[in-house]
Amino acid sequence: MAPPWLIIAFDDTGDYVDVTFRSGELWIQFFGSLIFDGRRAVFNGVHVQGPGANQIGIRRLMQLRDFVKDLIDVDELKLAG
Amino acid sequence: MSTNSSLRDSFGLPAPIPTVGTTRSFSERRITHRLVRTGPFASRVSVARRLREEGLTLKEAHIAITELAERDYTICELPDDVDLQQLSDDLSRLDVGLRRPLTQPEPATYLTEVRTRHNLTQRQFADHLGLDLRTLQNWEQGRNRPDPAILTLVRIFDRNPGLVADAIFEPL
Repeated sequence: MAPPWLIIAFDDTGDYVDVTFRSGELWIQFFGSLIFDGRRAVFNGVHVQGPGANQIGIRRLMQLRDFVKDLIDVDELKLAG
Repeated sequence: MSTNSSLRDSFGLPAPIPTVGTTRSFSERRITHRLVRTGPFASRVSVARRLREEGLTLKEAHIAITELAERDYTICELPDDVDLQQLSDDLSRLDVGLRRPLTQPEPATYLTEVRTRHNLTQRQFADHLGLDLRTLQNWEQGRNRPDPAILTLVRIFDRNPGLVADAIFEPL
């Protein structure tokens, strides 16, 4: 069972958010502008930094997506740019 | 689309979360610097955070790393009390070079120095730069001071006279 994703660092001003998630030894950072449109959220101009290419894997990324959707209570989460 | 007023609330952060950025106060005076990409730039979020530590807003830091990613350089304003050497060393490890503005030379001396280096009379120098002769004489003799943009033009001329000529003269 994979350890759950947690937020370990967070910074926000206005629409901009810089957030770091961690799950066990894995970590990933997202930095961009988060806009809400009803129950949809779009993360624009996103810069992503992580442990390296293909280190996290699609399954864990989908877990992270679901974790964030629950956290911010939206039905759809889109990454753009 | 609507903007959420508090992303922190949206993220429902339940427990104390380490906040990235800084609580340090900075000088209000800011100086323009140039950042240039020097490598793969894989740690761009780290660059943004390092700039945050020096007083840039999240939006400013976002613009900086986006421009660095898209066109290899950006111009950004840093507080004048930043430890530039430390920042330069840190950014260098993240594939970003820090360039500060050149120290402006004393205009009269500099203009004369460049003109004589290129073996030009005042008339010729004025013509090469697209300037009025009297204006140039007033600058060289210290009666007036040129705008800093003129010194930039002269610096470009000094390095590449043809570039300035191409910008001033066009083919018929």
